[in-house]
Amino acid sequence: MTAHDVLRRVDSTPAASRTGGCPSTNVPREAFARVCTDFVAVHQYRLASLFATDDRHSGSGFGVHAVLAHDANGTRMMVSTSLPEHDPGYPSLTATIMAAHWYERYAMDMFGIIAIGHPDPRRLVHHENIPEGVWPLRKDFAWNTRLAHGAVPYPMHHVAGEGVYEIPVGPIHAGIIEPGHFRFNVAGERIMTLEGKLFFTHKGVEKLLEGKTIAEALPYIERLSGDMAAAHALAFCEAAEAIAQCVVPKRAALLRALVLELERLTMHIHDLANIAGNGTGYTIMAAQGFRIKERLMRCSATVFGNRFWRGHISPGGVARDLRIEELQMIAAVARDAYRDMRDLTTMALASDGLRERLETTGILTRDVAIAYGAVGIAARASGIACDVRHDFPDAAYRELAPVPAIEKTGDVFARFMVRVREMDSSAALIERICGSLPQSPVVVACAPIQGMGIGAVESWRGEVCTALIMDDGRIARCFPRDPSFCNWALFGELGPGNIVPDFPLCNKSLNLSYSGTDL
Amino acid sequence: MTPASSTIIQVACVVLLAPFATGMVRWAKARLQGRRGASPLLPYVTIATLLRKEMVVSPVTSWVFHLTPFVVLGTALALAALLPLMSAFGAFAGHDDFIFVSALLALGAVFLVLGGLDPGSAFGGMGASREMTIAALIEPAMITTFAAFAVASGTGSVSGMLAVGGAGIVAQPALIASIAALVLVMLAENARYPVDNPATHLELTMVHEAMVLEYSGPYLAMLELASSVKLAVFALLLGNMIVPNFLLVSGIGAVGVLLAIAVAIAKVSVAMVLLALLESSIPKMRFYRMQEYCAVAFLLAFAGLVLTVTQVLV
Amino acid sequence: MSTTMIAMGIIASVVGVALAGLTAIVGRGLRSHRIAQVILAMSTAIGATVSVAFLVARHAPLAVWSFPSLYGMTFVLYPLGAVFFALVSTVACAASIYAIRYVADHAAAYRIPHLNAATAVFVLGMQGVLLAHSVIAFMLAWEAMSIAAFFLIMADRAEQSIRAALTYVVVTHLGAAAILSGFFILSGGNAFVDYATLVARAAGRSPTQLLVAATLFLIGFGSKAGLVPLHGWLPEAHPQAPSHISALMSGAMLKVAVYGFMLTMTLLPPLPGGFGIAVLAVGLCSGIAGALGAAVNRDIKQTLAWSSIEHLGIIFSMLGLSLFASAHGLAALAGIAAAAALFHCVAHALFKSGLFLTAGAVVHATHTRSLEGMGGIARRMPMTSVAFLILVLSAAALPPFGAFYSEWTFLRGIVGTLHAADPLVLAVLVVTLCASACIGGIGIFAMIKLFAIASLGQPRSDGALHAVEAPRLLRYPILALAAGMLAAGAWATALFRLLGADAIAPTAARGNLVAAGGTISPGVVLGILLGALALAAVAGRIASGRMRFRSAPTWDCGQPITAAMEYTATAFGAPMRFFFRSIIQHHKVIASTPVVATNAYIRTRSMTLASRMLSMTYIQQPVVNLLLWKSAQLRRLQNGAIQFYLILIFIALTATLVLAV
Repeated sequence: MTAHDVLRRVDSTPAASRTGGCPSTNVPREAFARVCTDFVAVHQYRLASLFATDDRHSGSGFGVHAVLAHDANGTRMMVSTSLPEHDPGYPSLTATIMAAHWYERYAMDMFGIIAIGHPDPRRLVHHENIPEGVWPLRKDFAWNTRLAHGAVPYPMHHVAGEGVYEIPVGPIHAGIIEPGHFRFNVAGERIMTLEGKLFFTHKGVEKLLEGKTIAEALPYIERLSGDMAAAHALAFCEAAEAIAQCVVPKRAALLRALVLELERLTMHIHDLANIAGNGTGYTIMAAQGFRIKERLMRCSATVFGNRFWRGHISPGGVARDLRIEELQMIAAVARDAYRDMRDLTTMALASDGLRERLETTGILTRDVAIAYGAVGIAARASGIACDVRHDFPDAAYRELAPVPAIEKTGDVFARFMVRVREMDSSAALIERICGSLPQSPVVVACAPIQGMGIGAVESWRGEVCTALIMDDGRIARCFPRDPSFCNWALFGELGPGNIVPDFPLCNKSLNLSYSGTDL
Repeated sequence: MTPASSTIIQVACVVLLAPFATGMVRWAKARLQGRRGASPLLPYVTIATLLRKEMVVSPVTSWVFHLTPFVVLGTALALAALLPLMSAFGAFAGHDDFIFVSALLALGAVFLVLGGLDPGSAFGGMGASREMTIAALIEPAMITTFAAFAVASGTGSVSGMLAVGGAGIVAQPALIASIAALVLVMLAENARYPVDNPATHLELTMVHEAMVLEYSGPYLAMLELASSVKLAVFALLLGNMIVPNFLLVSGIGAVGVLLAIAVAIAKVSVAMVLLALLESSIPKMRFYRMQEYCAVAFLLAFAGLVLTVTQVLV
Repeated sequence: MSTTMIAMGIIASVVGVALAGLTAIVGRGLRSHRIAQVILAMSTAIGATVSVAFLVARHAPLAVWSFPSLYGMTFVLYPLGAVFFALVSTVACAASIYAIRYVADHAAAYRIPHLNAATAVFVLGMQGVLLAHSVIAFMLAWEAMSIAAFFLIMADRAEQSIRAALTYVVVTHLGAAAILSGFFILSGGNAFVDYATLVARAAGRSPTQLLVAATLFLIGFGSKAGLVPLHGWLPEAHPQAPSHISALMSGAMLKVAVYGFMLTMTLLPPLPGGFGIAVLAVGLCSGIAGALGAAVNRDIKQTLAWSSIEHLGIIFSMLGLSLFASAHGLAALAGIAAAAALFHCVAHALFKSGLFLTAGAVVHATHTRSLEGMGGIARRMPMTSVAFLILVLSAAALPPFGAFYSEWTFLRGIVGTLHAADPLVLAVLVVTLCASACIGGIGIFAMIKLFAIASLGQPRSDGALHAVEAPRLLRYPILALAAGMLAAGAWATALFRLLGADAIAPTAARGNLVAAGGTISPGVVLGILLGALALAAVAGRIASGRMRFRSAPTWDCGQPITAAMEYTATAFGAPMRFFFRSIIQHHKVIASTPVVATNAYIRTRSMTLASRMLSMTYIQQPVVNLLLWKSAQLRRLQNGAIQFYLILIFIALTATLVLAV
């Protein structure tokens, strides 16, 4: 069986029977890796997500599902396979698809599913203290199980050779950052290899979501990653709406897009300030940029009662309609913040010293970005045209039609410039939405009962891809894949060759979420 | 006023003024960036707090770790006593030979490096390697700069050079390049922009801060004080090179002493505001561009020396 | 001390050394080893004492052994020779005390009788060179020294040692040939003339002949001293010898080369300034190359050997400037530079032999020569490491230790002469000043790296983990040499006067060093440093009350750290490697293989780093390859009998003589 067969089979399926707007197909486990590789290598699909399910109660063992996306065509595909309960192994995808390496390690830790032939089968989520044989996402594992203290080695990669030394940084940092451990192999200042050890604060969200209704689950989803509340909420709601097959009213869709763009504007301002300000020590950017960002966060507090653009997006639409004066206020704040930040950025870009620090630092080549399945800013800065708003637009973005910001060089400067251009376009979109909202209801009923849905949203970081499986009106499995999950491993490729003191700059240019990764 | 008492006044004033210098540059930076900033007097509180604390010392360390704060503070105090900062006729006026002064600076740097490496942490090593590289590369610039002053003034002692610096800058345009080189040397020696970012919390980018990472309590207070003293010493030295007036001289009265102290405070404040201005307007340099910085400093110093020497020739 | 007693003392010293050699070869076992070393120590101590007494009393040259009829074999003690005689004897004394225990602990690695006999011949050769008063005496003693050194380098019979010894023997005999040819040019082909005759005959030579002779001397003694471009053999050869021999080689033998150069310069009539510039240039280049080599090296003994190149470069640059200055009528500067060179010889002899002995003790304790396997020595060997630090700070020319004052004198002399009228002089002085400052800066880096990586942090290997304090017999000579550096600093003025550099240390300003208008008082410097340290200590103590300590692991960011996570020598030197990549070529190879062939991104990696000096690639290697073009055959001799080497040396020597005549 090849990808071609799968595509033909899918084409002959009636649209209505497709899973949540995404055609899906089941293949034998022996063919799983081959079919997926075929999709990626031959048909230029990208592995957008890969997750496992525990289907033992229905007698079909474990399921492994690969979500594949073709950005240029705007098509998505789900290839699944079933594994028998007592022999949950399948040929590894990672052997041929690099983008699968974390997903498969994740599934090995969480479900005890073995990716046979995985080139790097170390643990990922489970640290030394988790004993062997603990698979938290299996249905027979209770969320409140107290684990014994394990001592399983969690080896980090080591470069052999005299004079090589390792720099361990984190999980406790001097700054206020989430916990993550980074290990550099260095023989001086130039980085040879770089590896992260994350997952220090596993929240168990996936487990907690199981058995909840959509409404109960939404607050959890909004808090997966504080700076991406709107994007995660939207992806989750879209997945639910795909299962329920409800159509969101136009006004609601635009209001959702408004919040998403406001979140993008807020965080791009933050990142620009952080890269130039704290990354290179051009401190005026940080001092002023964070002040400007604060205005937007206060705007959120005024309108939504919290500083993180939370609580507005809800299944079937938005929680409440916004009054005209609220819209005017939002537009005014966004306009001012954008104008000030644009001035600041223009000044920063005129500084040779700053450009010198940003240019050629942390280069991510296009090939590597594609192989790792990079998404969002990192991908676009390396010349990959991918933007969910453009490739898989919902009702609002089909109308707004933003143009993806693509840069070619793949360095920190390119990522900086992608943010600058997206800040420009977000500010324009906010202006447009606030000025021309059609009148319509802002919510429709959304009650997903049974089935699987995929929701994908372009957050400011990149694509959020939420897979949702409902069973009898309650969540059976939910895997909200954060863009950070795809992009974390990129450090191993863009770090080497740079000098150690430039790493914080590379880090800030990606600005990935620990919490969003560590569900 | 005797030379001895003028030196005692000078050391006391510089040491007391030093935390203010550090506080001042932080405060001015905050102001320039539109922040309110902590009081310039905060470093006094910091040092007082640190002095009362218990010290946490790694079991990996050796006697070198315990010796370091004393040597580092000692060299800073020696500089404060030797150089003509508030008095041009101090007890050690003839002994502040420029080669000795640069060797003292190197000695302080060397012990800071040793103290940074002793606890065996990766960060200390990084800071140490970088500091030692910068110190080694900036050394030629420093010697060459001072050599130009020495040739212009006909004396090797820094107190002797002041006479030239003062009447000098205008009268001897050749020394302007040397003064510029001296500024670059001072920025590097004091771990300021664009060589080091003293305000960063990023361990991987640190130079000076990475070396003192393992120090706590009174030892840290001593090291902090030492770096403040060095900053104040350089600010006053540079100030005196340009404006060598209002110094302590023999036969000065109480009013004169107070005036000298006030002028010293003013010089330090102005220098710190200028430093803050510099640090607010440029980003830190990439570390592997450091040799270019040192080369520029050296070339400026070299130009100054060549100009001075040829002037002597004419 | 009367002249007779001094002459007797010198003879006793030389005979004692010979006796030590005889004892070693006749006796068997460790007992005779100890006796031989004690005799060696005692006789060199006598030699050092009487030569210092000779210098203190400022006696006229003193004939020690004069049988002109015996083919001109005359030996005379005169001030310059006495300085170096004292140096060689002091270093040999420290080394032989050290050897009592050191060689006994390495009994398995060496053939002790051979080693000790060769050592005695080596010391005897050096003493002979310093006393020789005729060309033949000089050359014979020189050859004894060189050949003994050859056997000492390969004392452990390791392949690497034998290769190093072969390279050494090629270079050293090229050098010997150059020296002999130089003498022949001056004497008109007669090897049996004494120095007085030589001076008379040299006066009759044409300027070109003189210049050729001087150049030959520079090549000959320069190659022995490890100057660029003939320096490559030194970091390979010196470290291969047992540590006390390395100390003798770097501390003493290199000084003998300096002596040879200074001697021949006194024999020649005044030379044009251009020759001085050439010596200066060679010295400065060697200084920079040596400092950089030391900065990036990862082997404790090789680092020291590179540092020897640096310091010999400094000494030769001082001598070169002295020659240049006297050619341009700057007598004061010439005197200052020569005095600085002499002082630096003394300082280098003391600290470098001390450092090699320390390296021996450290290697003895950690069982590795690689800095990457060391660490934590300061905690485990506190006494040794205190001496180590003092010696390292001396080598970095930092106050208050001895070497600071030679650099001070030199730099101060230059700066004080920068008002000279001649543009050429100014240009030379400015360049010398800048280059010397560069060498100084990089030298500090190299030495601090050496001490810090070896002594601080966590041990990087099992050997280092279980290191214990060096035994007393190893420790005492090191401590004595460290104390010597402190004394040389504190009494720098007196030392300058002892070396005959009265101009540097005028008696009028007691205790002050004066050079070209600059003044520094070693006593005040020491006082300021100690005073400031005391002030810091008192202030710190008073301000903080009773200091309270709590032990807690080094900050690890929440993940346990190991010795694999502390800075290595490779890492420490990396910025230098990068900034000077045009001079030190380094080749970092990160080899990697994919874990599975179909995924190119998940790989296992390993790194190798090789660095070499530019000059190695383009100058030394072709020369040695040319000379060892039959190296394949030669290498086959590695396991051959010792006689074979002797024959080889004999052939080489004969060829040299034939070539020279």
